[in-house]
Amino acid sequence: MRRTGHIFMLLLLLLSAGCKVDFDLRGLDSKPILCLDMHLAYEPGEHEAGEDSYVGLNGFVYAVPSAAGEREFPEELRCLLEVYRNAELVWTRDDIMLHEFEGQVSAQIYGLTPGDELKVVARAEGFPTAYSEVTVPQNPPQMRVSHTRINQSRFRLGITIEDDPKTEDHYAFWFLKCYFYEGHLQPSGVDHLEPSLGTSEQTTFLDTGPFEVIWQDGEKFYGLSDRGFNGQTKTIEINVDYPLSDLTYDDNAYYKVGFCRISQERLRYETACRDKAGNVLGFMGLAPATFSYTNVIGGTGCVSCANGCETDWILVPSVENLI
Amino acid sequence: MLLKYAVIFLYCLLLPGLVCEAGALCGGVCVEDSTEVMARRDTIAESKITSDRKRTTARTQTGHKRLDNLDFIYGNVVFSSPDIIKSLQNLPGVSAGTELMSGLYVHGGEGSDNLFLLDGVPMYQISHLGGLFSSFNTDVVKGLDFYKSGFPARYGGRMSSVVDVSTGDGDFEEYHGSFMIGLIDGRLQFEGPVVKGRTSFNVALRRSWMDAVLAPTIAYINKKSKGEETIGGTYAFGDLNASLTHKFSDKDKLSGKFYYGRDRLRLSREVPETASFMGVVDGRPVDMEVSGEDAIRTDIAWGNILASLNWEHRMSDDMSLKTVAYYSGSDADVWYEWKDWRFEAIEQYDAIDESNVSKVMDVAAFSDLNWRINRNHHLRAGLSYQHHIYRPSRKSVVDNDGSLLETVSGKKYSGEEFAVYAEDEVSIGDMLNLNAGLRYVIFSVPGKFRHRLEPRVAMSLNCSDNVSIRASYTHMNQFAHLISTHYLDVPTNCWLPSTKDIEPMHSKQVAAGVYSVLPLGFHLNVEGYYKTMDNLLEYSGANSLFPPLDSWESEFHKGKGRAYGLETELGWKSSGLSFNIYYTLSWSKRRFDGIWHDWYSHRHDNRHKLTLMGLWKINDRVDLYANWNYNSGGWMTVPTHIYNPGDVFDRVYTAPNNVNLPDYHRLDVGANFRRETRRGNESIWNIGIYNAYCRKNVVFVAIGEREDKSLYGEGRAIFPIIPSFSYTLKF
Repeated sequence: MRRTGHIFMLLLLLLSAGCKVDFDLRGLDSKPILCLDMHLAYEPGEHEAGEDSYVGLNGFVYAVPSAAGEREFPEELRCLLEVYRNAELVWTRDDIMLHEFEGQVSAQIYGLTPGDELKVVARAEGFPTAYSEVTVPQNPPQMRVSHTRINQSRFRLGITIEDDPKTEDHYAFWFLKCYFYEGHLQPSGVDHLEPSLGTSEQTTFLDTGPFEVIWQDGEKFYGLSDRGFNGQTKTIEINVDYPLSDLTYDDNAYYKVGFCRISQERLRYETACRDKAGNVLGFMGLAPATFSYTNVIGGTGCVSCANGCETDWILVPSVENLI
Repeated sequence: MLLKYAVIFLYCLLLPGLVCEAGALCGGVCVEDSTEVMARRDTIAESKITSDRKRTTARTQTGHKRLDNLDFIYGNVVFSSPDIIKSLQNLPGVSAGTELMSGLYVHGGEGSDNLFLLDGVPMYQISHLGGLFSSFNTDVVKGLDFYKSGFPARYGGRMSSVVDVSTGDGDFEEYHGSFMIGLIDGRLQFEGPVVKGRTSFNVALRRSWMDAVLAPTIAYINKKSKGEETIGGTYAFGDLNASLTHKFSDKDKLSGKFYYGRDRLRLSREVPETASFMGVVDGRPVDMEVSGEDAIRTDIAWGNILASLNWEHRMSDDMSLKTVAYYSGSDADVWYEWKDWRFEAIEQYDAIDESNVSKVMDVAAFSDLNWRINRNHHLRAGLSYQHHIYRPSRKSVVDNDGSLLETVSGKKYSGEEFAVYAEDEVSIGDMLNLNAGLRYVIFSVPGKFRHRLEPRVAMSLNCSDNVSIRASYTHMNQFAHLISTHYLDVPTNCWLPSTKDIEPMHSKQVAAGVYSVLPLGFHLNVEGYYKTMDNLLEYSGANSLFPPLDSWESEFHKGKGRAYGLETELGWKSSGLSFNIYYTLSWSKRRFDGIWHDWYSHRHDNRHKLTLMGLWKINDRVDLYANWNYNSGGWMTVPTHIYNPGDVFDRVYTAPNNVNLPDYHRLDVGANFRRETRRGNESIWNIGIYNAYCRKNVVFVAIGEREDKSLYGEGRAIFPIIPSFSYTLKF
């Protein structure tokens, strides 16, 4: 934002010198809608049949008031949420509160396997029924992680994957760091590892480095499609700055890389949200508005599904010991 | 008598397209209204050439308007400075877009879909000061042909309209000129013979002096701030038109024409910063202070250079050939620097230094043959070749605490465009005229070769001496795209060609109308049109002033458009008083499947547009004019749902351009006071009032929330009543 912020400010300074004219907005839709912002993550079990495999469902159902209609909802308003697998109801809950955006949902749905078609349906009185369909992605390809120290202040992380030439794939990565104190088997201070992504020509709002979009939903996800490397071996390189934290030394620091196949819709949705939030000129009619991509029919938001894996904890290359 | 016709012929040669009293076509294009020309020769004190009003019904093309110098002066004088583009904005079928900008949205097209020609040379940047002034200096412009439909085959390359501006050669006999000083700009024009009767020159200069006005103001502000911060700001535009013409004989004329226009805006803000720390000097702790600077600096420069060599050769009375070789270049350079200083144990900077350069260049030549074969056939044929170079680039250097990261991106395209055309103006009996034309164009960029055939047909049925019916059908292709991420007229946009993945834009248009001369000096024209457009581009929408260069082909949605409407023109003219009423009822729609699944209104889909123009020449010394403009409001995309889950404020958009903005209307009035100076020169005082009743017309809109949480439009009106004056001395 800062890169073009001052130009915006200068423009706005000139424009804001004018007189204010208020007017009514006519022709807006007055019906409220439901927003489903949900992510389903496949967790494989020990049995091949998938009986102990499950999909973890996490997210929110929001009641979204119309810009032209009633903006307050009664406290007793509830939402019914249903999940169908291949048209068979596999999970339901009917007590989700919608008042003041408290509709948090968390569940584990067992007996699912990759390739299952899931349909998430939300119903509430006075709202159009909202639903979305996603497919549990296939297992992600193999991932290899390597690192190289660049200089005293940073090291480079290389993540190599073999992309499937038969499918159009979308991936999300996440990076974690922790510390193993001497004699302790459990990691301490597990947190997001923030890579240094530099600048990108794609957007001046956020530097995304080799990734297309970054978003936070519990983990901090770095999304990428295989548009430029379909069927090829792809190595993604990112830099990580020392120290990983101000609190500890890096000689006992570890990191891990998570990686998943994810629904294409999530990347499109997060990209649209990012662009929309920063489109200052679009808000004022001075640039095209960024439209809200959604895969929720009858409502808005995004329902996505992922199937992923993580590396073990890997010792961070120390400043002294070059690789 | 012979002398009179000689003068008429000479004038027609200098001003192609005039219909002379004898009813003959000179140069091929007829004038719309009566045109009076004051001859300057000593041999004829005053000569008047008047067109036959009835000829206005006898033309073939629909959607054609010819404006002369007087139309600009009385049409729309902004800041007491006549403006061609703003005169065109008054016409029916044209939407002006953002107030006071040089927007020209013709029959549902975008501003970049218009072909602007200065003496046959395409011009890319057609305005100064973000659109406040057009690039065409009316001191040298003698007239223009404006086509909204019924495009003759000789024009191509843009799909919505053609604005063919012609400048005059210098006077071959006498030196004369004019000097004008206005509220924010000044002009100087001078012309005359180099070799009497053989060679002439014509030079016109224009420059703004807002920088001179701003400088003391900024100095005063900086003095008041007492060093806490220093601001800087300067803006200037200027342009130069120059021509040199030599007549080798009655049959051959060679002229060189040159245009240079430039805008420059510089802004800065510098804030000194200091930090204290405990240092050690000679082993003792000492309070020390270091200083640095936070700064923002912007330097934006943009403009055009056009240069051409024109050779006109008259083979016979009925046949002539015009050959032009030209260069047209346009560039915009946007540089800015941002520095954030701080002291944390050591002196540190976060800084960004970014430069965005966009260039487009044409090196080209064309040749037009004009042959009146017989009374019933008037053939025009020609060919053209254009070598286009498009070169946008971006360089960014980011200093993040001493870690320098340089990013360079850019594209370079070269495109070859070759076109050949032929059109025949055919008279079939006394009643029917037909202009049948065909244009074949080839466009090639590395990796892609395209060719298109563009049929152009127009016909006119003269029902009587006073009434004619006209119809036309045209295809147009556009191979150049103005890539923009916003609707502001600022030089951050760049021109790029059709590529392997980006199809050329294409329009088809059918138009028809009835044109009549009524009793008592009235004329009434009613014209309808229907136009479709394909392969339009719309930015997907993100927070950027600059279009993406490396991935622009995938960042734009491809879509289509359609526009249709009815245009009415009612006019009346007497010797001293005249008025025109233009009314347009129109629709302009877009469909981009990547954005919305259905048709939606274009942002300048102004349903009704009404313009009233009046001129009263009270006597030879005083004339008054007034223009009233009204149009239905444009359209804007407003979120249908706004919610605030947790810390996130989110907007849900459904259909694009879903809210109609308030209607626009404005009255401009002005007066010219003429007198003769003691030296016998003419001086003119112009006094004008823009937006005379201070209507607050909305330029941009934010969305506000009332106490009951309902939404409303919070518009901003920028241009209140603006009085202006200018003084012109003709010598």
